Amino acid sequence: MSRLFLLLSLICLLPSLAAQTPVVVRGPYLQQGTPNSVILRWRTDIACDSVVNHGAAPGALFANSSDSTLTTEHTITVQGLTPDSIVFYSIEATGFGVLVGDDADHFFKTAPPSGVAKPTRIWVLGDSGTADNNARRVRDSYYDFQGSGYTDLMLLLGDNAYNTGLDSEFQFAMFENMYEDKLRQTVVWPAYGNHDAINADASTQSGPYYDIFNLPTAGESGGLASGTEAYYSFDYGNIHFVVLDSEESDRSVGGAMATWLQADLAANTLKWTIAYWHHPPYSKGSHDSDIEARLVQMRQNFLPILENEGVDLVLGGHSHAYERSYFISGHYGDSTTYNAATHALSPSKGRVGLDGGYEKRPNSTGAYDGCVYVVAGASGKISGGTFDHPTSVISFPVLGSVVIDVDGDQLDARYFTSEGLLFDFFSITKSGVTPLQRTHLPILTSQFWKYDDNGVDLGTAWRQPGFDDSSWSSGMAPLGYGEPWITTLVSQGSSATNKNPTTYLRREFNVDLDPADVEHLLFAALYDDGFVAYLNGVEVARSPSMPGGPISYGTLSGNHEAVAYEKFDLQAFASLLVPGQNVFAVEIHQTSPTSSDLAFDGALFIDGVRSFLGPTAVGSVVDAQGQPESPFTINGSDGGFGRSVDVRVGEPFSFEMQPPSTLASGVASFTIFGYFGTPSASESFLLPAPVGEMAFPPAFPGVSAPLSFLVGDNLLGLPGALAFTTPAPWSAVNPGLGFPGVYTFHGWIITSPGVAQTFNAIRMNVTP
Amino acid sequence: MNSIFATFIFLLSFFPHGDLHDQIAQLDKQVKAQPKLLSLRLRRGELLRLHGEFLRALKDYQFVQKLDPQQVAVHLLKGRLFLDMKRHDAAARELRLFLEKNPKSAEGLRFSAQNEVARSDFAKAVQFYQRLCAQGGGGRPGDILACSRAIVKRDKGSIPKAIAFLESQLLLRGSVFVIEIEALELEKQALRFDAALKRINRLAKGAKRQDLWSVRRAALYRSSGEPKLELSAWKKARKELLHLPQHVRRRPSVVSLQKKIDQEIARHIAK
Repeated sequence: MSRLFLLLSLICLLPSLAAQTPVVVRGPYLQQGTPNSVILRWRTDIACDSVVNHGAAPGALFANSSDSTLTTEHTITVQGLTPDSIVFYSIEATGFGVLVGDDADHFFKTAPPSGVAKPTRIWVLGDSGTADNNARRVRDSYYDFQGSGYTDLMLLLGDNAYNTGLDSEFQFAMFENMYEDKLRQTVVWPAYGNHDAINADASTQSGPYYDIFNLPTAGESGGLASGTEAYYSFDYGNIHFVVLDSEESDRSVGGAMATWLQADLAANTLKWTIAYWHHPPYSKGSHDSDIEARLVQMRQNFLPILENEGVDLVLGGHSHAYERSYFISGHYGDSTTYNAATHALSPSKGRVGLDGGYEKRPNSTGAYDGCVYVVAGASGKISGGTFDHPTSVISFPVLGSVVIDVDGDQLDARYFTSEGLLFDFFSITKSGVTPLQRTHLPILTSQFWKYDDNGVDLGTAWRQPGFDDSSWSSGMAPLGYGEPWITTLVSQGSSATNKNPTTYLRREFNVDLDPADVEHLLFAALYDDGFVAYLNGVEVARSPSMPGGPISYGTLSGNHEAVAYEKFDLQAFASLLVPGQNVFAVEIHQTSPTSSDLAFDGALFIDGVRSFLGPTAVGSVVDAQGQPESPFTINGSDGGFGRSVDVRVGEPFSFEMQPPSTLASGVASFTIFGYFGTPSASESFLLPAPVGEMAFPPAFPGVSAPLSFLVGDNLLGLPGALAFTTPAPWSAVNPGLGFPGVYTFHGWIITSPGVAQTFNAIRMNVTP
Repeated sequence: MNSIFATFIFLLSFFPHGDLHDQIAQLDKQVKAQPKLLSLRLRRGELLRLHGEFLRALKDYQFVQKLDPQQVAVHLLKGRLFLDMKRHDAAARELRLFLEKNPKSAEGLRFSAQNEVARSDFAKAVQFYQRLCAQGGGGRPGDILACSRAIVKRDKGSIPKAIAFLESQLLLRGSVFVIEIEALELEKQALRFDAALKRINRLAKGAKRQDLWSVRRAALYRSSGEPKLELSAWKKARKELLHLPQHVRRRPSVVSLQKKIDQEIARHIAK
């Protein structure tokens, strides 16, 4: 009996004695990609050995690389690979089989042979380490744009894990519910930020940042051996990347980093040079490059080296904004020493198809010079600043990320906001190369529509191209009545109990690309109560509030309030587009003859460009001579040199907005963003919509969530923004604030049809 | 790291951005509100040091020391401050106290080495640098160069031990470029031209910019008093430069280099 009992006990115990299968809790992620190798990293919950199987297709992973050491932190270098080829892989633990992979999601592409030009897509994130929904929205905006395409490289500009660069912070800022999908397919190349440095040490290369990343020290990925992971270089195709440490390494002229940089760049013969580090050389965002030591030193000590060796593009983070320079050379002093006449190599804003791209041309010595400097530190959060560095084409606190495409002799860069808005783009070409237009402006904006509100059934002809709408009225959206934010009032009908059931709208637009190349066609509509939309006469969208089946003039919609823009995917109808003139026609339907309101606004997106809710902001307001202009004033003042206006507690003050001088006629709608504090605070708040009245919410110290007002909010799809629907000239008086504080106001204004530009920021100091 | 210092490091993350002056002003308010929160004092002390307000910084550190005499991190901060103030004896004293408790601290060793260089006690500086370079992680490339320069000064201009030190570092770390170039310069100074030429030839193997190495050879031949070989090297450099791709030849540095090479060749021919 006792023997039987013992045997039975052993049988029961057997399952618990069996080894637990390791679970991959981080990664896999890719490091140090070269044409022939890559490093795979991953973490398991329990120690096991490390095996990577790889091959040309899932189910055919016949090669493997392994390490029998039992560990939870796994590092395997896969070598002997073919350049520019796709490699599928799986992670295995001996005795437990495949842990992850051997499927369509686990693959990477090896780098092309050094020097070989290949279209390259690079995704750049700066200060992305917030591990929150802001970072996820930025991520999703890029993922939506990228679609099923492949991202060749991922660059991080520092502050990759807030607040102190702990391993647990990196987990949530990068590896869990953040970029894990991308990191298993694309090699990531980070720069070292001040927050990463809090728990890491560049001199001993210890701490989570250095533990997590395997960065080249001996020129493993191209470039000269730096001897440290704090700064390094690598090659990809015909691009040489240099990554510097602006935080801890010696930044002096003649120091090790500067000496290495000069030699590394001199030794490089690839066509393109892109450099990046955390602390930007030109910024008036949340950090001032005129006075902060690291920013000053990087500009004074490293830009001469970089420019002397022909750098094309410099990226930085640290300031939580997007700031992008002209094509400049030779400016190493503070902002007061900047002289556009000598430092800017082109007055253009760099946009092919609009004002021309940048071309590296010979200067008086025969050398090609010119570089664009980008601050892109808003991939996780935005902060204040004066945003008025004279080198800037555009400078604004808006969440987003940079997408760089390098193809042969042309480099295109775009900044997409977290809402999918194309905020900026520019091109650089090598000398003598005619740039191709790769970015297409939005072809429809929420601006002017033709409309017929006569209360007459127009049948179907009005939807067609070629229909004569010359007798129709024209007005700026939103159109309608019964809402305080309506810009253009349309007729309600014969009486309050007999509202027009249908109002008709048309908008012609030009398509300047082959419709066969359209990858995205999207319509966004703000509507009350229902609509049906037609593209070149064919129905392409109908709001859910509209009934199915044939629609007539008298068809009533279900009730629907205009609260937010709703997206309608029209890609299936892209073939309806024709090169040249097209027409988008919309009929808005009421819900009842006695309804008090009606509203409509809409925007159409084409190709990879999404101008979601308005025009693309393309630089700062200037007059016809290109001199800065200040349409925005507080108490009649633009803040002067210091961009600052003082107001006493309890004292009334007014905001004024003048139309830009470049606007020949019409109206200039605008948006004002407000922030508590500057440059340190990042809370944003919305101003309430009623024209002529403004009120501020009370300032609660320590509030981190945006304080917002529902009416009219988010009309431009940017957090914390409010679109005023009464255009400039405009003014409003506030009876006074009951408490001291500092506020920054900034925003954009339409300067010519379809074009928005940022206006002067003003800091308002409310003092006792 | 003791808890105060850890808290100090942690609180660094919460301090606002913005220029130094603004940050100090904000910290002034915070210190006024919480005068006994030592991490605030430490942070303000650091910012004051960066701002050049050394005496105010010292006061903050002394305040922390008075309230928490066991606080070790403040010795490091005071040491660095005294180094900036060029009060080298005081710096040495503070850093010694810090290193007694944290003998492997990279910052402690580095500041100590820098302090000894400033005091012209190169023998001590070399000891600190060598301790630093022996750490896991091995110090920065800059520390290696600084150590090598301190060795030369310690040896009153004699170079062989500095070269030997650099070679040992190259053996440990691989061919780190800045260390190689430092060794090359020392070999030239020591008139070890054959060794220098050997190093140049080794580094030049496989390099895409052969013109740069030819220029280095030319400079070496000039130092060694061999004008014919020097001219030959300049001519080789020009030929190699002209074979570079257009986009490299048109870099400002290469345009300047071409001019320099042409001038050197012309100078030789004129002789």
